[in-house]
Amino acid sequence: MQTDPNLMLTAWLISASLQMATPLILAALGGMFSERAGVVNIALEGIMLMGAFSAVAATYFTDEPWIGVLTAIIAGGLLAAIHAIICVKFKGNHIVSGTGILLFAAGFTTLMLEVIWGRKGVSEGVTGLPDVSIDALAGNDFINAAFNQHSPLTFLAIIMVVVTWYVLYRTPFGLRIRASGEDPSTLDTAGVSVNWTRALGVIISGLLAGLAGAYLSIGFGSAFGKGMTSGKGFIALAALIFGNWTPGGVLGAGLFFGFLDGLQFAIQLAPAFAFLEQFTAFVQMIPYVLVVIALAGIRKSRAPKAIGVPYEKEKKN
Amino acid sequence: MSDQEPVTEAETSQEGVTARLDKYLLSILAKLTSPNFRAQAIWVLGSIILALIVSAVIMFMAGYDPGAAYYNLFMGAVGQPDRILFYATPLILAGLSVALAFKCGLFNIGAEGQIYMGAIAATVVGYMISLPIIVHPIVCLIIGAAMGMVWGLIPGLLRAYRGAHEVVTTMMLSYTAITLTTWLVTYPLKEQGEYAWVSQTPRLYDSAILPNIFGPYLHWGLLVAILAVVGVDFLINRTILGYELRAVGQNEAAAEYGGINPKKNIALALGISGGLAGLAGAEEIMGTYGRFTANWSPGLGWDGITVAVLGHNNPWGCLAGAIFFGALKAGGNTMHQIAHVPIEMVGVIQGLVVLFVAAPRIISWILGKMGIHLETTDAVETVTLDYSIDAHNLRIRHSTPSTVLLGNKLDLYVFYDGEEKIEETLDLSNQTMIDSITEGRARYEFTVTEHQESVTYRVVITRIPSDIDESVSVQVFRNDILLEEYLLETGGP
Repeated sequence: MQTDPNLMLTAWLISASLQMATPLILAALGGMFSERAGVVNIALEGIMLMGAFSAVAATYFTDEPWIGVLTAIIAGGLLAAIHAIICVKFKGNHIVSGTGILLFAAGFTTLMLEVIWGRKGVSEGVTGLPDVSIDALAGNDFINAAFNQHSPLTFLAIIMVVVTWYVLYRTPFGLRIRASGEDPSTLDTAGVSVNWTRALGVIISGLLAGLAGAYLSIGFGSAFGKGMTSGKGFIALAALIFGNWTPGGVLGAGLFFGFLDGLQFAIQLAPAFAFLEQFTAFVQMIPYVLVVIALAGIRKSRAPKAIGVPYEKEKKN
Repeated sequence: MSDQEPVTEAETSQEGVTARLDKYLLSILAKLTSPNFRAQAIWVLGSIILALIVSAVIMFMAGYDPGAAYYNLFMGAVGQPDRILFYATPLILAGLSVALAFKCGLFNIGAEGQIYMGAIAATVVGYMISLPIIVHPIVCLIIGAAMGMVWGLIPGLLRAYRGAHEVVTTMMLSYTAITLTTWLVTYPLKEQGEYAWVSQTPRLYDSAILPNIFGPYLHWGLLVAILAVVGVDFLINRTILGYELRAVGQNEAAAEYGGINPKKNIALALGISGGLAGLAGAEEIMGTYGRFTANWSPGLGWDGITVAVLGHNNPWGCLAGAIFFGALKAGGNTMHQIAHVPIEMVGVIQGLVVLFVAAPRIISWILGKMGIHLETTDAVETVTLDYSIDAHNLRIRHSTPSTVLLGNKLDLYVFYDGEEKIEETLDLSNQTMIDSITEGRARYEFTVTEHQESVTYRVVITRIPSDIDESVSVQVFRNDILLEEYLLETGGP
């Protein structure tokens, strides 16, 4: 039991999967609030990038990573609020607005990287969030290696899945969010403001995506790099769709896509798999291809009905 | 504003080339002076100005001098027109790609991947196959466009026949393409030897390279791009395919009822869109880079979206939008060198322009606060809902506003056997429409605001079959109250 190399490799793979899944789950949960409320949010990637940058910048100036996390959440919420204003108040096109946010975030974070640190590619290193060690898990070698010693945000991500499920399905607010994405006019008839419900959904998505960004920069690493989200926001979106817009589905899809990420590292590190190294690109493609196949083949994949349609109060059918 | 016009135009077109040219120029002039065009121009210019103001605030807060930055940005752009066109070349093609899909109501946000696929295909033909000059670049361009087309057809077919949403599939296929091409140039197609640590292919044969027109930057890819503008304009406005694409984009159900196959058109639109993106990739490798390096594109596909949005999905608008962003990029270098503002500022400006263009109501809202109200009285497009019963033919036609326009007038006509039965003129400040056509029944519904009150009009056409003969009832409801009813005899089956 002590040091069975295969068992330890498995434990290591589980640990890596959890780490890689954390930002995906957080951002996808965020995307769920936005999309269940009826606003398409392809800007998750940009919001994550903003979160990652803000976390490092705030930690750099205060030397306190938790303030960095808080700043990332706020920055993500603010950026999402812009998306909300354009999509909800001014009835702009959700995709175009999302594209604008993506471009803005990519440009702004790189600009600020140069303004603050005078560097082009990577910021100066900052104190990362310390990993959490839970004594109860430390007894068994396998469990310790697989499930212990993670960033607190990893544990938070799992907790957030439950919280999201509870909020969406067991609270009046969750019901409003879902109604505003499925049938906004009914919500309107019930005397609830569709605009505010949608705006809140988008802003919550920003808070969570900002947190996901903070995990990337100071939870998993300890610096900000230009374009460091490298498509993770889009994989989160894939996880959201693959998970059928439900918290449980997002958890499963997030863990699976995280496992694929972890698998790439395992292939690169384990000598037994060395011959597979040149094919890791195909492992990388799996999430993207799976989503296309899922959308094409499985008809039960169903988006919220009124997603992407600006709600006009006058519309009464 | 009636659809008889094109017919008469065709009949009188034998007057000669000059008369036709006159008419064409007059139609352009009419378009340019219409209130809608003016409103669109104000929205676009307003968005650019707002974006520049916000960017100036950001620069100021970051400790840069916005005045110096904009001065150098402007001078840098004006001083290097060849560089503007150099940067604009791929943007024109990428913008056309997004715009053409949008004309059919589709959002191709995966142009980036189609660009990569077109580029890799052109690269393979460019360095593996030896062909004579002139023939070689043309073959490369065609193969590049074809590969992009394949990559666009996949989401097109999936959307048309499986209902998979193209926003998601094009995006996912885009990342698939980037990963796939990176793998290709890291392993099978990698150049060996001195630079083996870089993931890139060998250089193209000289015969496949697009030579420079003049100066160090500008190459013949520009000609390809401009020909594409003319080609797409012709395709959209002068061909049956283009008409069908627009009809599907305007109203899929109505188009289907009018005998247009929406599935075929959706697949084709994304296919052609992918082809244009593939052309952009091919032309960039052949004119600018000379070989395929992993992750070479600086986000051209995303830029394409911004160009199409700024150009209101019009081919010539895309040309203008691409030149604008090309000028930003060209001037950005000068701004960086002289005013020392990081080049990323250009990306910030670009993102802000798109954000403001995304919601034209922001500009209307700001102008409204200043006491200016934009007038957009002309209806610009016409949608026809045809409902044929045996030899008879019932038609509902209305002139719709373009999707972004508000404050439009809507003309509703109901024809039966060519005879006008109902005519309504409605002011639209806030409109939504729902069309549904099922077997024997067509429902046409729209909500308008009249005197700040929401009014729902509904036209219900029901085919009433009986043993002896058939009749059709046309009911016009206003706020669910029957306004007018016609019972039309259609004769027996």
